[in-house]
Amino acid sequence: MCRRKWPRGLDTMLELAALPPLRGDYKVITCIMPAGRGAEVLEVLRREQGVTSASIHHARGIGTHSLRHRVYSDEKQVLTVVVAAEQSDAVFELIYFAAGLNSPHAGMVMMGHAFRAAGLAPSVTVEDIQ
Amino acid sequence: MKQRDEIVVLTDAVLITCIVQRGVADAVVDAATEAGAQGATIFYARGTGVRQKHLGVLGVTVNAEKEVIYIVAPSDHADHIFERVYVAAKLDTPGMGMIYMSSLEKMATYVPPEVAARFGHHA
Repeated sequence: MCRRKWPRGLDTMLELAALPPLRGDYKVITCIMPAGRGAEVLEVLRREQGVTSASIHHARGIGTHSLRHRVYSDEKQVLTVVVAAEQSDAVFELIYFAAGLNSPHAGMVMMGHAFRAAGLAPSVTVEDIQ
Repeated sequence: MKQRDEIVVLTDAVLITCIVQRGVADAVVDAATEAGAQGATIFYARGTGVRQKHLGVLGVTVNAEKEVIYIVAPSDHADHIFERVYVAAKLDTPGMGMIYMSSLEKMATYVPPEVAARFGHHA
């Protein structure tokens, strides 16, 4: 990838980005995963799907093995990411496997809806702008 | 590799989010598990609001430190859990916090193969 400092057309891109976004179709994907996997999942998201803005925080998880018997309480990380609807199923699957949720007591991933969003860096490269 | 490629996706789930003063989350989680929730996720946050000064004595009895509780529940069970949590967290009192329920398009977690088979999924 060519890395020129100020590619032509970047100013227009920035101006466009400064406009408030219109209503659209977005998905909010929230993932609860064991603590420590967050950074790794973020890296996978960036590499595989070009998702560069996401948020992670810590939490504690409480689960029941059978009802009314508390069996585990452990450290979790919660990842929240907003993506365009077209991309959402791919990101959902990617997070599921990257966070290792296909094993017991790992956590879950869920997807909700949002109709206006900003701060999603579009996955453009320098070549796209030129 | 087949196992890696398959996700059992659950629909008809809702997310209950409850924001309470710090220290109340345990009571909320107890009420939710009593009501049939399988689990909960708790994290800390700081709250603020326009009416902060008018609540409590000089605005100091309402703690700005909050606990946020996520509970994912099947949609046919969620209303029951919602009501039990509402009562347990005393959310009818001003300044105690809030609770809301939002729909989830889909969610995925580990589903044991025997459970998946019972619902007609064959790996």
